[in-house]
Amino acid sequence: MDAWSSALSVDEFAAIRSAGFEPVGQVMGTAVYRTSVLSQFVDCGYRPSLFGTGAAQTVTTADGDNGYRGYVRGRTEMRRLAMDRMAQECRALGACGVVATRLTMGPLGEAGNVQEYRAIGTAVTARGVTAPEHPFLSHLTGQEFAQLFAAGWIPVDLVLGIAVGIRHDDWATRQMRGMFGAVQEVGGWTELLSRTRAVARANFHHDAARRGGDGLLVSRVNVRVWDRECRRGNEQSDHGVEAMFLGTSIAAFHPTGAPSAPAPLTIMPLDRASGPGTARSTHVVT
Amino acid sequence: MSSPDSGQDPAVALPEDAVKRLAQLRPGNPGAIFTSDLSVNEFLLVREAGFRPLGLVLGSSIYHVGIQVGRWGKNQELDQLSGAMYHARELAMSRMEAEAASLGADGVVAVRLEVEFREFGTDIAEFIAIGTAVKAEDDGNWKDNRGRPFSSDLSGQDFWTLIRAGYAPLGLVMGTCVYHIAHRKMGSVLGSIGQNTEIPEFTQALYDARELAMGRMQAEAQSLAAEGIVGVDLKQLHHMWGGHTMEFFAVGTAVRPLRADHVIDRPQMVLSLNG
Repeated sequence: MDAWSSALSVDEFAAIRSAGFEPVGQVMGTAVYRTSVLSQFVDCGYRPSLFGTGAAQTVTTADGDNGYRGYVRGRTEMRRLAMDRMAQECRALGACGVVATRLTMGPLGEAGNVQEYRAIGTAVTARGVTAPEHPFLSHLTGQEFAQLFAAGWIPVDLVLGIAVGIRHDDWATRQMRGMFGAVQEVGGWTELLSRTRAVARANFHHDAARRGGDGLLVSRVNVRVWDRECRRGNEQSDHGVEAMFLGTSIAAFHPTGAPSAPAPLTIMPLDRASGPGTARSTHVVT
Repeated sequence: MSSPDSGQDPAVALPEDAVKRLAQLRPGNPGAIFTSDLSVNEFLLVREAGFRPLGLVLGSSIYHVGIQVGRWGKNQELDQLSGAMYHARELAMSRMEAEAASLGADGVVAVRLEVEFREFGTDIAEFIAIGTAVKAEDDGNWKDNRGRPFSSDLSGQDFWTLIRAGYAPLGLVMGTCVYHIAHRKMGSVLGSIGQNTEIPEFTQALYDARELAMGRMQAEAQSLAAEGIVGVDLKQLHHMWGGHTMEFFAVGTAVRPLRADHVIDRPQMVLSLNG
């Protein structure tokens, strides 16, 4: 048997072994893509009127093409591609699935709009088990994987949901800015953020439904906000929001024999390294 | 060490069962999959405590915080700002609770109530509440005295321990006070040069402000008919106001007893081998 390699820590390795799995090798998938958003096609939802200040509303990628639809689709597809390539490597090793996946995304080289998507994880397998057609993928650490597994849950897939929303800074929004503006809720931006996040969450659910499963554990929720010049050339600005949800879907299975996960044991650590009590006392000393 | 697949207790989960389940998976209905932002540990403990996660719920409010003019040399609460800071959080919480109620939840656990300054401008803050809506496996009444789902900012671990000890969370309670601490008068600054001495104006201001925030939190707990408040966090936030104006924010989980005795298992002592 060839030697395997893995980036697992010793604790993770032991945890995975305790669940009946063994690491097979490090697997990776990557995809490089170029994003481009053509500014003149961005729809900020502003509709000027002949009299008065005009109307503004949030336009998300679910409402129609606000100019970012291609961008969202590109990001979703590239991520899927990187993950499929990782799954392929996993299948080639005859493994059951991948744990401790780290997903990174960053600009490649000097060009700001070329991004690399990279997924790196450790493929694991169990003795005497035929590898499934679709290996499971997860961001869980080895310990988390072992805990879930002992309780009768298996990870299914890495899941992602993205959405972009754009909103014109209308008259009512502009009035509230500045040091001496009234202390109150900014309705327009609240709508922008809430709607965009809701759409990203819905996309997240849909992505999970592709493979199926019973639950979805969120690992990260990111929100990025930027402002841009309104393309209408009225010297006003728009705000854009990109919301992203990332997580692992899981499925329940029934262990042969009695379905009994070990009951949690209450413990009291006797070392002084951590714990709320010690944290409090060190706080007092400093 | 025994090999992983020999001599195991039959009740223990086996890789075969799990992999078999993977093969049976079919594309599902997005609504049938629950979401939660609990960690794996927290998720398993919430399940163990007898609750089923329903979905990740969130509420948000973008608020223009601004300033309120106070007297330079006077200790005083900036009541407009106190009201705003409370109102913004209440909006976020109530939107989150509305999402939970529409899922038919009994409560929301592991709520994170945060203030974030994003790229909207220095005086614009997002107040956001995120939690996991849960439903109890039993038919007990977990709602608060107004028939609303309970909420709690306790971690999954704390939540499990609380239920085990015979308490139920009632609601996340909070109190806030934005206070302007007086600048010292020239005379008192000069008078104390070179001395190690207490500055009574400052001491008094901090006492008053904390007392106001804590008192408001306690009043909320009383209106829920709670027995007490656990996990209180008293934060001191400067936001964007500079050194002399700060927000004192008290937040905790109001609890009610589930039964008369509150005994938990004697914890096992553990001496860890690392560190």
